[in-house]
Amino acid sequence: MHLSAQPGVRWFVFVSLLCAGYGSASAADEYAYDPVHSSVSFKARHQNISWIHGRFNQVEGKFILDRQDPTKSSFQLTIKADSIDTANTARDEHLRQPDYFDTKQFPTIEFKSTSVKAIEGGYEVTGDFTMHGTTNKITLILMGGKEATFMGSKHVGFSTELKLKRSDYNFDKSAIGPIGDEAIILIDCEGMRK
Amino acid sequence: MPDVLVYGAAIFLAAGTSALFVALISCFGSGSGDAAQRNRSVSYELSERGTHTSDSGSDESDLVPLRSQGLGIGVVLVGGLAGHAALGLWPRWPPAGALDRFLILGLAAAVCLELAVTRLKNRPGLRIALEVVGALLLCEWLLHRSVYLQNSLSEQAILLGTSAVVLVLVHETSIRLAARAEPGSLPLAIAATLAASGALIMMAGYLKGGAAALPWAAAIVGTVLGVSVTRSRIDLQGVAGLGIFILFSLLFIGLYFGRLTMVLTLVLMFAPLSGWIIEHRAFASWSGWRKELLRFSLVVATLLAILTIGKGKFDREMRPLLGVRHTSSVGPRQSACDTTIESHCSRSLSVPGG
Repeated sequence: MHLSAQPGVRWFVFVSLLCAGYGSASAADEYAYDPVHSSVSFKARHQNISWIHGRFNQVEGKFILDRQDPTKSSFQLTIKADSIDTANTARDEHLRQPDYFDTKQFPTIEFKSTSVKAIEGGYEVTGDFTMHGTTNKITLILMGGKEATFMGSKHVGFSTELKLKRSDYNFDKSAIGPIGDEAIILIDCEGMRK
Repeated sequence: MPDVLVYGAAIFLAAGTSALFVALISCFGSGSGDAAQRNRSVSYELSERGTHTSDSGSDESDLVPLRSQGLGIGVVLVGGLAGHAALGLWPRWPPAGALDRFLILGLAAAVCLELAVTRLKNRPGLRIALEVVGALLLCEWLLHRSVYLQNSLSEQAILLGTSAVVLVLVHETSIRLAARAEPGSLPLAIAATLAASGALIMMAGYLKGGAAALPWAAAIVGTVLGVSVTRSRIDLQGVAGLGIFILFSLLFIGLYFGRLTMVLTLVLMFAPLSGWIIEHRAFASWSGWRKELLRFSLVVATLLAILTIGKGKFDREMRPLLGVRHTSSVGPRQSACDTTIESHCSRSLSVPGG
């Protein structure tokens, strides 16, 4: 007797195929930003002779990776502007004021992706970057994407570097002088999921 | 770094513009004249019309036409805005920061509030109610879309309520003091306070916010000088009232968006009123100019004390950021420490590969 001739078997095979198809269609994994193993840092020219380095200590975000269809992936990052840290308390307070980041008026710096494209070694991510009340479209080249299992959770990491001009984000032009207009931002982030 | 020449030009332009407009109003308006003489003529005119006059206990300034105070306010506005133009401090549209919001609508609200308060001089209950509502709206507008208005409703209410109370208290007290002192005395005290506030906000790290105070200080001084020289009809009580609103707004911005401390902010806010001490009966026998000189000196002494404290904080915290080193008390002889460092460096350089 052929198994396929029995209605119960046919129904079981059909449901199994359906579940397999559903499982492979939702291949997107959501990762939460891991602040312990990530950093958002920057450097800017000082008097055009040296670099001032700093970082933001409070960052949160998430990214959704769909390895089968990368265009369905998304990346989102929110930085607390108040958490700026240049290893100098007086300078940090100065940078929080309206002449610079104006953190009481613009408490967050945000990035939200609008399109993702797979490239060799990572992803090309285009999205809206909002800082100091101004939103501009930028494109990030995220290198990485390898997954590792650590302490029972899966981790994936990316690195990127971008250049921004403060004048493009309505920073006070008179405050662009001693500290250069262009800042280089380095993001090394890990996301984790259970 | 602040450009001293630009600031100087802005101050000169603001004061000069206000003084010029006072002169123009004197020449082309209804002419200059002694303020007391003018008040008496107005009083006669109103009584001829059968208009209800104020009680015998109130002072003559209640009878000053609204237009006279409006002219004073207008002259300060023109001078202050001219100074802003010289500094390049134009607001962005839409307004992004607190300073933008002050220049857009905040200033207009202050002018309207001052004119309304002048109109309601004989109706204190309504006047104070209007001031409180206006003060609340002004504070809310200055904090619009900031982190402070994302707190709980009770925290917002406390912040806005106490700020409004301080503003109304200082403004009301100023009205009373202005009625007792010589016309230019309180406006000059407010101008000095504005200038000191601007310097302190800049020293605390908010250059633009501090610079914004300078044209207003200069415009008030220019107006007072212009009125004194031309003996214009312009009444300076409105100038004092507007000055209080501008002082409050800029200190409010310096406190909540800059790094001005609460204590310094409150002392600056009440500094123009330190001249009330002169109203003590111990000074009753003093002649007019001596009293006013002492009154102004008290305000300036208060401001100098605050500036000294602010300068000390600036030297400790901000100077290192500017790369300005403290001059050493050690003379031409090198200190032992320097010698040790130099010899260590020369030994390191002489080691091969090091």
